[in-house]
Amino acid sequence: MLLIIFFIADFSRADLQDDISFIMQTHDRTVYRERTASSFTFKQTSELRLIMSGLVRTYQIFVSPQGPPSCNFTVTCSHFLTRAVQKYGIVHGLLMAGDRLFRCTRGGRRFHRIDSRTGHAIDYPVDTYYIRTSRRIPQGYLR
Amino acid sequence: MKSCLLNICALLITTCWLLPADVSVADYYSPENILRFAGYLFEDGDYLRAAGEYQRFLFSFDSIPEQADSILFQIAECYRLTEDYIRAIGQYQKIIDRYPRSRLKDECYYKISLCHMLMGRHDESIHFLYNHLSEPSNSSLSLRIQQLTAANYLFQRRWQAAINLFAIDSAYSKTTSHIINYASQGMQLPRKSSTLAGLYSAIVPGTGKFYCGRTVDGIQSLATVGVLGWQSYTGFRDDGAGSVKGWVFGVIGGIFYLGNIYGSVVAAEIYNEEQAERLLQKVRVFVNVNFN
Repeated sequence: MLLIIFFIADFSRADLQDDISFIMQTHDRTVYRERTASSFTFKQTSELRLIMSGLVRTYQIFVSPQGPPSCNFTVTCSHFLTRAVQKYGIVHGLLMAGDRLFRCTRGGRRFHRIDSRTGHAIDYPVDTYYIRTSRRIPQGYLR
Repeated sequence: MKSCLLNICALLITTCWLLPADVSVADYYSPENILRFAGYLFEDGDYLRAAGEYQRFLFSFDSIPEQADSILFQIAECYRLTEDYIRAIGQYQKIIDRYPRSRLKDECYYKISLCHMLMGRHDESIHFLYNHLSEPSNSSLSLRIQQLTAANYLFQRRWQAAINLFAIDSAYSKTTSHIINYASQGMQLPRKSSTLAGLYSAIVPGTGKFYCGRTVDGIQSLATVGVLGWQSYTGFRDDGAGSVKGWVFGVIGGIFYLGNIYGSVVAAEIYNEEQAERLLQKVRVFVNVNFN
């Protein structure tokens, strides 16, 4: 069983660099700094967030590569979910991801700029979709 | 040996003969020519090199030249035009500090405020104008200050405040009329109520998205929540309250249902933001062209 897992995992080695850079982006490094300063709180190290991130990562490594790329956005929906959960917690993260899946349609692309390299729509950053934020569209994102 | 010497002599004589008798070599490093060259570079749009030449011009004098303030002003202009606003502000401030009686002092205050605006520091820009240019030296500058303040208000989306700056019955300049036009457009921007969008989506999933003009997203929401809800319903109908199918589809459907309301509220706010940002993009172009 272990051998099979290692065998499958070996295929994802090519994406290792991407994975590391993704983890660096999504995991707030300030958390670790605060942790060493003994301000360890439940919110910062929520097991639910870790489980959710792990599930998404499993999906990204083992499920998603089985078919052709289907997400319409450059920051894919699974990455969006991870970022949202990491930043705003499991409740907001799930709701934001639910909404994102509704927006992930071919027809919805006309509301966004298209990345000329990948041909995918460039969605606004995760922060823009947080309900309690003072909404500002970053420059360069508007179509 | 003899022939070699003869050849060298012949070469020297020919060279001397070919040289013009009276060569007036231009002194490229004279202060006047440095200034001329700096002006040429500035006109040509090569602002950073022009700034260097202006600095060289200042350096070429042992004592401070009379027109030092205007040269410093040109250097500041070079930095401003290359969008190095921090250095430009430093240069303008240098003129104000070193030459308090300079005729360019008010202009420097105006330019500092302009730089703040171009950096997106609208509050600083407005406060700077009020603190330093409450009594401008001439009417032309007074109008420009009004226009700059109004442009700051536009970026802050204080549309009415921008209009209020100008007297209703006065004849407007072209720039002023454009500012008033943008402010009027800002006041009439189409808006969507986030509460209403959320309410619509709570009653019928997806309708909040329809309301915000996102029809495809709305159809997707309606279909997904509808299918999941139906599956959950059939599960509970067939197997009762202990139905695994009912609970699984119910929970997933519930998340999507709440996500649809959440998304509709956010979509309305994003719609409003996009409308304002589209207008502000036009204002940005207008400011870059007309404010200098």
